[in-house]
Amino acid sequence: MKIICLVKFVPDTEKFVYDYETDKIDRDSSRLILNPDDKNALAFAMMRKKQDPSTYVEVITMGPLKLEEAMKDFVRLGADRAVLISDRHFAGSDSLVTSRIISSYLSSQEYDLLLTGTHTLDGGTGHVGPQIAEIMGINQFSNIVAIKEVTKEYSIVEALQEEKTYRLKIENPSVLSVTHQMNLRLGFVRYENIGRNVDDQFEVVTNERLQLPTEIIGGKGSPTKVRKNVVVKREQVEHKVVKVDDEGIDEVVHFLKEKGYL
Amino acid sequence: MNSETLVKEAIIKDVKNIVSEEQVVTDHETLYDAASDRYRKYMKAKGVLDNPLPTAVVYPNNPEEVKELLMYCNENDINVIPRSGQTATEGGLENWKDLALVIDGSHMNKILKIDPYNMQATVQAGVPLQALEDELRKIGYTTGHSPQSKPIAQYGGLVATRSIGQFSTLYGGIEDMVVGLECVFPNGHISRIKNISRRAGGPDIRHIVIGNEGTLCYITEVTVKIFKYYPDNNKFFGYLVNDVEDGVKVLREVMVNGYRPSVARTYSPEDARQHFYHFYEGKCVLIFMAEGPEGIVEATGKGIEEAVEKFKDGIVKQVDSQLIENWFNQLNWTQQTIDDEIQGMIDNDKHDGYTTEVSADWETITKIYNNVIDRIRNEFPRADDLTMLGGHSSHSYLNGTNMYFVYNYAINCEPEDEMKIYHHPIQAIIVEETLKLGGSMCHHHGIGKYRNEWTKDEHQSAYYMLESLKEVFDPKGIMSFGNIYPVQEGLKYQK
Repeated sequence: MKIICLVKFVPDTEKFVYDYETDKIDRDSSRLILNPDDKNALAFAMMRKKQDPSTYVEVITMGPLKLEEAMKDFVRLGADRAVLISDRHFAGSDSLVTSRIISSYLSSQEYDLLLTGTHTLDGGTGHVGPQIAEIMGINQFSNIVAIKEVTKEYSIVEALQEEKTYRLKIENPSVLSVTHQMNLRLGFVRYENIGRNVDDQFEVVTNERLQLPTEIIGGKGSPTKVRKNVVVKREQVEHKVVKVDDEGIDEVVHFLKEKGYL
Repeated sequence: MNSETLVKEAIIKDVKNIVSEEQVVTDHETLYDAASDRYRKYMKAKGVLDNPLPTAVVYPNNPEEVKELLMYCNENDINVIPRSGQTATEGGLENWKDLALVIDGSHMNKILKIDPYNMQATVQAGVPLQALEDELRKIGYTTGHSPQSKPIAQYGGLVATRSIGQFSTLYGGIEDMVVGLECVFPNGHISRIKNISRRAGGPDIRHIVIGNEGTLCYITEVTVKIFKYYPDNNKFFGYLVNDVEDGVKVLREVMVNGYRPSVARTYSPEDARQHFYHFYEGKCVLIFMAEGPEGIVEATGKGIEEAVEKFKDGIVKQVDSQLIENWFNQLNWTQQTIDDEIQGMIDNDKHDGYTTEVSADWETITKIYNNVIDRIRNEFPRADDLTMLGGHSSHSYLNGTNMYFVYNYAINCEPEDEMKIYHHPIQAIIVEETLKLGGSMCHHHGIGKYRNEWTKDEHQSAYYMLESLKEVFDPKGIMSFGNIYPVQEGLKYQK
C-alpha cells in the first residue's frame, strides 16, 4: 500500500516574528513547526508502516527551501521518500493555487491513500484537502478523529461534524483530512540518525518540472488575498501575592473556581 | 539460564551469607531505581535506562558488615556503589558494570552522640541531615548545613560528595564541618580519624575521604561541628539589580570587608523568574540573610547596606524583606517534591531542569557566566528549545564565588536521547568555558560520572595525586567505577 502524506510547516505560535510594516508573519525569521493536524496524519502513516513494513510512505510539503532538513528528518524517522515542492514563483499562493500545485505533482504519482490535516495553525481555512480531492476527482472527508480500518479499497473513519461523530466507509483512493484529536505520537529522529545522509530519498520539485503557467500560480494566480492580519498582543496581567494561610487558600480556590479550573 | 544470571545468583547467595536475607533486595523495581541517579532522571522516569542494573541492593547494619561486603567484592571484582540518601545529581550512583552491589547505608541511622559542650555531634552514615537538625534544634543548636536535599540526604553521601548548604557563607561547606570520621577500605581496613579541633599530624587525611565520591572507601560514621542557633535574629535583605556583574560586585564587597551573611546570592533574570516571579520585574535579584547573635546580625546588616550603597548605581530598588523570608521558607526539597517531579516526567515529555555548578575567583566568575550564556545561545544546536537559561551565585568566599547554572528546555527528542542531545552538550559548554578561564567545573555536586572526561583538565598536574590515591586505596578499581576517574567503558553512556 502507498500512502502520501501532505504536510505543512507553520509558524510556532509561541515564537513567531511579525513584520508590522508588511502586515505579515516573517516566515523566514519565524520558527516553523509541523502543523499539529498534519503531524497526526504522518504519525498514522508511520504507525501503519511499523505494523506493515511493506507500506510505502511519501511525505510532501510545499514551502521554502529551508524546509529541506525538516523534510529529510521524516525519512530519518522512517518515511520512504520526502518531496519539497518549492519555487519562488509559488510564493504568495492561496489555498486554491496551493491545491493546484500539489495536485499537479500528485497527478504523476500512484497512491492508495492521501492523508493530510484538516486545519492549519496559521491560515486555518481547511480548504486544501477538499480542493485537492476535487481536482483529483477522489473522495475526501475532514475533521477525522479516528481511522479504524484502511485497505486498498476503502477506509473506515470516524469524523466530528457539529458535535456529532460520523462513522464512514470511504472508497479509496481518497483524501483523509485528520485532526490533532487523533492524538498520535510521531516521535523524533534518534540520536544516531541525526544528520544521516538521505539525499537519495529526498527531492525538490520546482516549477521547472511541473511547468505550470506563472499566471495561475503564486500571488498573481490567487483569486483570494489576505486583507488584514490582527495580532493578539499579550498583556501583563495584574498579579497578587497571598499568604499560605486559610485566607490565602480561600482566595486561590475562589480564583480557580472563577476561571473554571475547579 | 545464561552464565551471567548464574553468576549473579551465586553472588546474591554469597551476600546472603554475609548479611541476613532481609538485608538483600533484588526485585526489578528496586534494581532499576538503583541503576541511575538524577543526572538521567528523565530517561529513568520514562523507563528507558540503557545501563546495567546492579546485582543487588544491600543494607548493612554496621561497619563490620560493610567490611565483609567490601572484602568480598574486592576479592571477586564486583563493583561497589556506596549509597545513602540517593540525591546525587552527577551520575555518581549510576551503575556501569554488569556485576555490582549497591551498598546502602540507610540502616546505619543512629545519632550516636550530641555533645553541646564540645560543639560536635557524631552520627552513622545513614542518618538523614534533617534528623540531626531536628534533634539539635530542640536544644537550640543547628548543623548549619542546609543543601536543598536536606530533608532526604544522609551523612555518608553528604560527606562523600563534599556537599555544601545554603548557609555556607557563614557556616562553611561540609569540609569545614567534619571533625572526624570512620571509613572502610576495599581491603577491609577500617580507619577512624579521631575528633580533634586541629592538628598538624601530617597532611589532613580527612580530605582523602571528604569528596571521594565512593571511589576510595565507604564512610560509616561522621562527627560534625554544631552551632548555636539564633532564628529570632534572622534578617533578610533583597534588591533588584541591573545585571549579574553588579550583583557580584556587591557580594564581593560584603565578603572582602569581612562580613559573613549566611545567605548571599545574586540571580540572573531568567533564574530569578523561577523563584521571584512576583517581584523580579525582569531584573537580576540580590538577596542576603544575616543570622547569629544580635550584635553580629546588626553588624552584618550594616555591612550589607554599606556595600549596596557603594554600588548603588547598579541597584534598581530594594524589595520587601518579607518576600525574601517567604521564599526562603519554601526552598528545600521533600520526598514529595521528588515524587511529584518523577510523576510529572512519566506523564509529560518534560522535566524540571538541570544545573551545573562551577566556581572561580571574583574577576573571572562573571566572564565565565557571560561566555557560557553567549556560547549556549549561539552554538548549542537546540538553543531554540531552551525555555530557561540563567544562573545564580550562591556560595561566596573571601577570594571568589560559585555560579550555579540552571537550564530547562522543551524536550523534542526521544527520552533515550535527551541526555546526549540536550543535557550533556549544555553541561559540556559550561565545563569547557569554566576550565578555559581557570575556574573549577564542580563547585559542590561532585564530578560523578558525567564530568569525569574533564577530571584531568580540572586537576592538571595535580591529577597525579588523585590517581595515586586510587592506586593505593582501590588498586582493583572496584569502588564506584566511573566516578571521578575517566574510564573507556563509560563513553557509550556519555557520548
